Amino acid sequence: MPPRHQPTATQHGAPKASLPEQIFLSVQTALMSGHFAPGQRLPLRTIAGSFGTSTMPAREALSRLVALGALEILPSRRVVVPTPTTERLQDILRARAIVEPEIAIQALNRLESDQIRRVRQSVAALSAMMRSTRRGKRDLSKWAALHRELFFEIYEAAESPTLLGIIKSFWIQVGPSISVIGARMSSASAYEDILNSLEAHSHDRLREAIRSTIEMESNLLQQPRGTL
Amino acid sequence: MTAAKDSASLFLSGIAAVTKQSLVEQVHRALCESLMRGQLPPGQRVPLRSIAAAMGTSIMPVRESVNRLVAVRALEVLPNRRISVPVLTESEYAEISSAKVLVESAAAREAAARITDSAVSKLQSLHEAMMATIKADHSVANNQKYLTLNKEFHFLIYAAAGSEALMKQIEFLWLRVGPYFHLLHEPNTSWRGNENHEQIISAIKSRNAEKVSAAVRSDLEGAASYILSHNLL
Repeated sequence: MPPRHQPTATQHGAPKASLPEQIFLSVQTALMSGHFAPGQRLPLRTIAGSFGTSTMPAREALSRLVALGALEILPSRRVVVPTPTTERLQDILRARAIVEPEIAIQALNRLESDQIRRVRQSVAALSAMMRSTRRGKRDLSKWAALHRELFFEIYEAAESPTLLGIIKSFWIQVGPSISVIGARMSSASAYEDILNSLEAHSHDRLREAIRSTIEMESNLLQQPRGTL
Repeated sequence: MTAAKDSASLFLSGIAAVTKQSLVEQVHRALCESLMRGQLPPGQRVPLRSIAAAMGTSIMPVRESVNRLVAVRALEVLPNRRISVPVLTESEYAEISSAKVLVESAAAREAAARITDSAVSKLQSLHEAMMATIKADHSVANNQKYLTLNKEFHFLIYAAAGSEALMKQIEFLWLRVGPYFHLLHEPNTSWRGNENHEQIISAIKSRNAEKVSAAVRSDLEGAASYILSHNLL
């Protein structure tokens, strides 16, 4: 599945990114949102084709993702989405649980009311999804997009490109496995706790809410198949 | 061609691939360590051939490692295609440093409850070795020895947080600002990192997560603002 073309780099009025940068950002977003499955091939030509470019900028973008551990090159030189072991996924979620509460706290003082409103909308949509649709029938790609938007609406307010890059590097590694979490989640209360702590402007509650949401994700991923 | 011969050559090509891979890893480790310990200053050219010759390898593994470092912005390709250690602007340095402070103080907070007693005594001996180093004469060799011990000290704490993915990101941060660290230890420096290390150790011994996090934060913030305020960029 080719990634959708998204002008991610320019959405905050930043200067227009170079072609490899644009491809990097698009593939990154697609990986974070679970558009690619573990083991899926990412043929250079397909990527280049979907952006209407030569293979050169696509190669540059993909090699950055390889260096970040988001993609891997097989001995046959094919580029694929890695299939992480359970231990590896738990290790990344542990990193998320350590870093993300702190960036959320940094963001808290800078969050504008329209950003909090968008978080509220994401939480409302996620709550509706948890209530109305049976787990087997959930639109998991919609869930993954809402889930990502909720967290990144907060993290982007921290205004640190380096921190954002670090957190994205965790998300792009978990992204291909993320639909499992969406399929197993049974309530939106974790999301509601995040929203409440934002509205209460409480550092301690926000830290706790982000951390326990990530720990819940970690537990859902760990459940053996067929226990639902 | 017999099946036996086929499987033998398959086996041998497997061996060759493994050695080639581990050679790249060895070269890559060595380059990363040099950057993180401040042995390659900002603006330093990175001549592939000389590095390959110094390491006694062909140019291939060096090129592979350099490509990886360029991908994470630890090295850059100049318009004339030469490789060099990036020179940061003040605001870039400040931005990366504040991310580094946040990530490492978060890792330290987590480490407080988990670090083993033997790691704590190792921290103590690294600290003593650093004390001995600054008492000795100021020399390039001593400076590098200090930075090597310092890196080991910090990473020993962060490793106790128990996430390899987190360690890798911390390495990326050190790769980007490490080239500036030697500035803390120039002959006329007034930087007193050892006092901070003393506080970190005592916070760790108290197993108080808040205190450990704050002590690491103040060490890193102090170093970053020393570099910035002395116009060392």
